[in-house]
Amino acid sequence: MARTAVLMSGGVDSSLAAWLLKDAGEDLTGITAKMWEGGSRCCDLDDIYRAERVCHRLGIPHVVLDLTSSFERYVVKPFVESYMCGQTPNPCAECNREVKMGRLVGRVLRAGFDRVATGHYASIGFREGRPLLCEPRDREKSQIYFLSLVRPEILDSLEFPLKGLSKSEVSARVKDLGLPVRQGESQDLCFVASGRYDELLEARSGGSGPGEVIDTGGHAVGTHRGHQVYTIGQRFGLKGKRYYVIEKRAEENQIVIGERHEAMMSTMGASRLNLFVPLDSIDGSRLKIRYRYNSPAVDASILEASPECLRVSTAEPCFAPAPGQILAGYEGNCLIFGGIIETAAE
Amino acid sequence: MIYLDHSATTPVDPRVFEAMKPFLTEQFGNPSSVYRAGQDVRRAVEDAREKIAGLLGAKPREIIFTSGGTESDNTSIKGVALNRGKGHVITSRIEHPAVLKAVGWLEKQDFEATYLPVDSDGLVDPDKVRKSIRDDTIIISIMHANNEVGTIQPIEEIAAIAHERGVVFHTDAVQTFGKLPIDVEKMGIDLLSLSAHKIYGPKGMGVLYIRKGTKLDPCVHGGHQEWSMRGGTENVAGIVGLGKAAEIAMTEMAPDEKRIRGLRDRLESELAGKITDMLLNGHREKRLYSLTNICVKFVEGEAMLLRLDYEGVAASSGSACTSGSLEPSHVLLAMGLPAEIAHGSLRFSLGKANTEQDIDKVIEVLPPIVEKLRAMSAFPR
Repeated sequence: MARTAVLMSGGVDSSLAAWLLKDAGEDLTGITAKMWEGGSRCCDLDDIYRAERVCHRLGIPHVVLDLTSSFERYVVKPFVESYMCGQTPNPCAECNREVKMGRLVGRVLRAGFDRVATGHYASIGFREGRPLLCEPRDREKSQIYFLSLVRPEILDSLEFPLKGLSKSEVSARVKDLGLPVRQGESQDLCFVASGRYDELLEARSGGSGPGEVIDTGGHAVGTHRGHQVYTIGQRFGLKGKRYYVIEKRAEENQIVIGERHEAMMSTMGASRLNLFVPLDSIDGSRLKIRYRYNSPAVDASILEASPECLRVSTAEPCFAPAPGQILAGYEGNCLIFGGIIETAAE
Repeated sequence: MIYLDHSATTPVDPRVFEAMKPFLTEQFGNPSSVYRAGQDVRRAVEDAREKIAGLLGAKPREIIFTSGGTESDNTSIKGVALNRGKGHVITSRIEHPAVLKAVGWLEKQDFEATYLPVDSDGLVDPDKVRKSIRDDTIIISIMHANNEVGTIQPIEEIAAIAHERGVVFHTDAVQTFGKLPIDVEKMGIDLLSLSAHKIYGPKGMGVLYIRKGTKLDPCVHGGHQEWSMRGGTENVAGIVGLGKAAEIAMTEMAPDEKRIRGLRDRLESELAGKITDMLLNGHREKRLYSLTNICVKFVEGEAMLLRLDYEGVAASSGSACTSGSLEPSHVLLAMGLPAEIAHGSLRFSLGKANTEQDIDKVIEVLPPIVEKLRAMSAFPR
């Protein structure tokens, strides 16, 4: 019988995923990764204990694997470096690629498991026999944007038991079953206990210190608290008028503000391209992109592409794409590529 | 299940359980109570103390019952340190975390520490001990045999060096008590830790031997129990169980050793014949007869362990106290193994119940596991 490992965080989603697989009679083991020492808003010792207790309830074995050094190396350190370079990183996507769906899944498969299930809202579809990451039934909760950097080779081993359920159905089932889960959602930036990522950046790097705010004409119009504190598209009030951060210049420690229309971009360049289909098979007429989580998908066309990077132009202008975020390409319901936004232009 | 992790813990011997039972049921009195129901229980506690003392070459008054090896290690090291108030501690890099963390904590309290290196066999050099003693050295703690690789340390020699300079000598004998003869008098040991659950006794039960005249402060304050060295109502059933387990271990030590050593040697040589790129860790002669520690190159211990578990074989990648961690063993690193090789460590520790068939099973299942793992390289490490 095939052996399945389910990655468990102690939260609602992965606990129900485990219950569903157990209920279907699978030969199942719960796996929890310890990723971060010290305070955090998830993946701490309480959550590991909750995951263990859920496994006890289901009558399945539970194994804790230590990934703290990988998490530091591939998520936290690059997160700090990226911010200090003026980008807006997406640590969840890096974590999914390098830690959860990278080293953790690798260790689990080497330990003798045939398949790895997770509580992500996602599904696996096929195109010409090739597995693809596709939208789940609950589109609003879809997490495939955050999964768009995972290595395509790993998709064959993955399973998403929540693909056909809505979040409210999942919550209701867990409540009915009385599973001892963590209440509330997992948080982005789970490793920032206070929720204040700027404090982490300052503790790790010292921060950039105050600098100049300039307008799009290059005139100094004020001072800021450190460029790393700001995000592209963030509102910036000046003399009673609303502006937006449209660029961060880390080397000069400047932020550029402008009016909303000045933050509208129609081309984006992305690096570290992660292709789920061959480049030449992409159907230009059906391509849509997302450039931030929960932004609507926009029609786009590829201007130029190589196996490493690509540049797209969008059918309509996009508000404040931030370098460091994920550019995800879709055809229909499925992801065909992911990459890191490097540049954006009008 | 084929159980090959006796260095982590052992099952309670049925004879030990029988001895304990009355003290979990009808003989429930508090040994400190004056009435007869208490006195009878007191006698059982003191009989056990006398038995343990006899087996160690100690006097009953020198035996303190504790909750296990970890507490005994902590009380030894912190107890001497608290009594002196300041000073320097010597230990080795391959000690159990109970010693390493206790010494680490003392460093935070402004004590100083030297962590001695070991050679590639895991041996501490007595000469290095001598050279690191300072005028303010207060205690030297070196384990009797290492829990991961089994290397037996020259503690008699180290104790003599400590005493030349008037320094207290502590040894963690958790892995050797019941397997090797111990005579605290002859070996010059001032403080010794041992544990019941490694010798087919109950968990949560240990002993601290304190040589008469050794000055240390208690770490668990409370009632007058254990001559005020360790407050708290005695774990009577545990104490009786430990006494019985120790008695059995001493009478059965010699025949067990012969049989278990034979099984271990066969396991080791057959695995070495079937698995390429495999290292045997620990000193070839000065080593516990009950365990083998190997490194399989290009493979992680964790993956082998979980696959062995699925085949019904319980083993360990080193110490149960650090499991779940992918950090390579601090013991193997201290012995000079590179981290990528230390990652591939496996420890099989044998006990009374193991048979030739158990060994056959490991020899049958492990080589194909290694082969499969070496063929898997698609996923990031």
